[in-house]
Amino acid sequence: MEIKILGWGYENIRRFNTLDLDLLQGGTHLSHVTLVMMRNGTGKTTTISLMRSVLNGTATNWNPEEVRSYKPTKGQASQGKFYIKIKFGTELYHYNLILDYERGRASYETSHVGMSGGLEQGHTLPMQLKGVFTKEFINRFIFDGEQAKKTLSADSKEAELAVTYLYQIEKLDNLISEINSLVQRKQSESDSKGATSSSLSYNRTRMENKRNHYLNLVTRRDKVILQMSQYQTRWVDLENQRTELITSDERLRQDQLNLTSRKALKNNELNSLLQTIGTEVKEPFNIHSLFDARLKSLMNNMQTLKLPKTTAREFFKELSESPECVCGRPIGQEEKVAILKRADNYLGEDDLSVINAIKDSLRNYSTSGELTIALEQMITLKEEIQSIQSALDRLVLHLDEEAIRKAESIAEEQSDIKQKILGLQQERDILDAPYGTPNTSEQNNVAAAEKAWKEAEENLQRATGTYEYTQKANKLIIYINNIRSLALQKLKDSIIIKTNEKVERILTDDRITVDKIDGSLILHDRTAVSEGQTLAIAYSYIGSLFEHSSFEFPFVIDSPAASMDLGVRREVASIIPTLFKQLIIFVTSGEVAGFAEKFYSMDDVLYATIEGKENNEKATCTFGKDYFSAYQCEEEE
Amino acid sequence: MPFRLPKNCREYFRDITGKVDGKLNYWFDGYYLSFLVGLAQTKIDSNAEFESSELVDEYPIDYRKSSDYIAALLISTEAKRIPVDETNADALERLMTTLLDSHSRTRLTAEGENRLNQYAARGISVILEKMPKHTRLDEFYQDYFECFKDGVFIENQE
Repeated sequence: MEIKILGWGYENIRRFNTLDLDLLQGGTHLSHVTLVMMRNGTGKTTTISLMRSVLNGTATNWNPEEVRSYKPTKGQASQGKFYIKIKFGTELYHYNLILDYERGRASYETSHVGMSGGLEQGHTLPMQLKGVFTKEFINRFIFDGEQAKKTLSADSKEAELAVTYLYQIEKLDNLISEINSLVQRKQSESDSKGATSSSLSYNRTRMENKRNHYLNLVTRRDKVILQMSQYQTRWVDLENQRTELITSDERLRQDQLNLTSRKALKNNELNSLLQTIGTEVKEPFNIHSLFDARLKSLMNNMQTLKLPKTTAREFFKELSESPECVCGRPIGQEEKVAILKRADNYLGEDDLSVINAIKDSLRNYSTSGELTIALEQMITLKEEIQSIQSALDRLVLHLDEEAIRKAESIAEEQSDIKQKILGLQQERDILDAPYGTPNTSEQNNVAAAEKAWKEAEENLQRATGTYEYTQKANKLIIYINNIRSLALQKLKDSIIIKTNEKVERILTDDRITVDKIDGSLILHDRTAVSEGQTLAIAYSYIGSLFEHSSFEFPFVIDSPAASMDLGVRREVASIIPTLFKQLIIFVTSGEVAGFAEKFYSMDDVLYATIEGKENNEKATCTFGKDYFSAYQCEEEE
Repeated sequence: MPFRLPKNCREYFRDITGKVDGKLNYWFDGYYLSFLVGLAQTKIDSNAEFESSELVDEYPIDYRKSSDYIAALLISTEAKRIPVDETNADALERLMTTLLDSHSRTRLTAEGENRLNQYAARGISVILEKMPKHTRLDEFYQDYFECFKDGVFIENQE
């Protein structure tokens, strides 16, 4: 089903006052791309927010302040309206979002061709979209450039959430919640199987205590991690202060710079050595003579024993089919069974090639002392680094008295922080250790506490006679989770392939591929890409998300290139029209330079310039490229 | 049976693994360093617990050239552990058929991969016993190779 936005309009909404945007312009042709220019503060964000609300039907939940926030600041409007004209397939729908400023309430009206009675109260969607047009879903095709960048941000789960919501995987999560609710209801309603009420109460209390304790440990773990991070940040801050003390002293600044530069060089050398060690380690014969001896021994045995033998499993299988053995004796049924049984003791022909490859490797390797040398060099380097650090630390001794006092105070606090971090690390290790690790118990270990809680829960279930019921429910939850994981993984794999195809077409100068989706998009062998590349990948991803969908959605983007430099804007402008069937892009004049220019040479683009007015005058919309580009130039002047 | 991380492995190697300079690149690195210790011990942990999700079902690209050595070490160590008479061609060949599979991505049978997992489990428990947890890779390497050099990891001196 194709979904197209044909236009929208405002009545008594903030600075717009009253304005209608008909993207068909009275005709029947809808442009592929619509560029809408608005100054900052005119209402781009307002429009995006209202578009989302009018489609997702959630404005009725707004509180009065939210409703009234759309009221024009001047004038006495008691009511406002935002409307949108949208086509679902061949059906034309018109939605009104009515904002009652006096009562602080929002409501909807819907009309569509074929609906008897014209405009009806409420928000009605076509049957196929019921349950699909949720708030989360709509945010994925009406969005801004910052949201697009989140798909690659390690701090965000945007990329994974987009798949989850677009393909409604979260409905499986809702199902699991429902099942858990049913289990809880069953437990509280159920008659006990012979358990007394005091024993039930005991079991219930025990389970709740264990659960609370587990949750407390989880919270404590999160707090420990947060505290560690805060201390580490403070430590770095103190280090900077210490450095500042030294660099503010002219005499010491050069020494400090030299030592820091040397330390950085040595650290780079150390990292390089660690890589060398990592490479050498992958040849186990270099690690210890034991491994070398075993490999040589195996090689010698294989040589002496002439392994692999030239006779393969297949030879015996064929022999078992012959009437006669190689020695001339007849092969009957008994002999055939015996031969076939013993054939499995021999390697197959394919296996022979594997053995020969192994033999070849064993024959041709030789040990080297590179690993030992690298380890010795590493130790020496570490000593040098320590020595440089000591020299850096001694610089403070050359400061004036007051600076030394400050430096000492900093060092004291740093030492204190180091101890605290150590303590927190130890606590975290114990909290996080796998179940059964020595020195852990349900008192101090999350896994053990969880196990204790689950055991108590099981006891309660047995006492309430809901054990079997709960076990079945748990099994069902496992199946649903497996379905969820499998479905999500298959979707992700497919979307990644499509995304990489697009990225390859778009980013021809650099080989960038998406490896997987794990919260955000994880790139192959890359930790950083340029901002333009980030957006190119993000839009390729978003464009691919919808390819499997039976719906074709319009895309509404607010500031797709945001605060990018010109080269990046041009890159983004050339990409996004190829990804979406209908595009509506909101831009400000300041953000458009370098971006809008790319569209001027494209066909099928509609240009609209919206100007808000002062003093309660109506906002105006002017269509046309000439006005659009002239407006942009005027703004620049 | 793909490669699986023993349950204590990830926690031990957590602070020294990551896609940045100065750390191990893969979780497989920790797995590999663990099974080397297990092989040196010539012992497996047959009751080990592993993570439920597979680590990898083939060698990471950096390890492809090592696959022959790993397979050979596995055969040789198993011959010692079981034990199998390495001078008997039939016995050695039988051992190889149980561990090698030309159609597998790792060239090991499921049993071979499982055995390697068990050597890794043994290895990590020895590492946990003999070495503190490290937050720097250079300190880990220094300690790890000292343990090899001093024979701490080697159960049966050969």
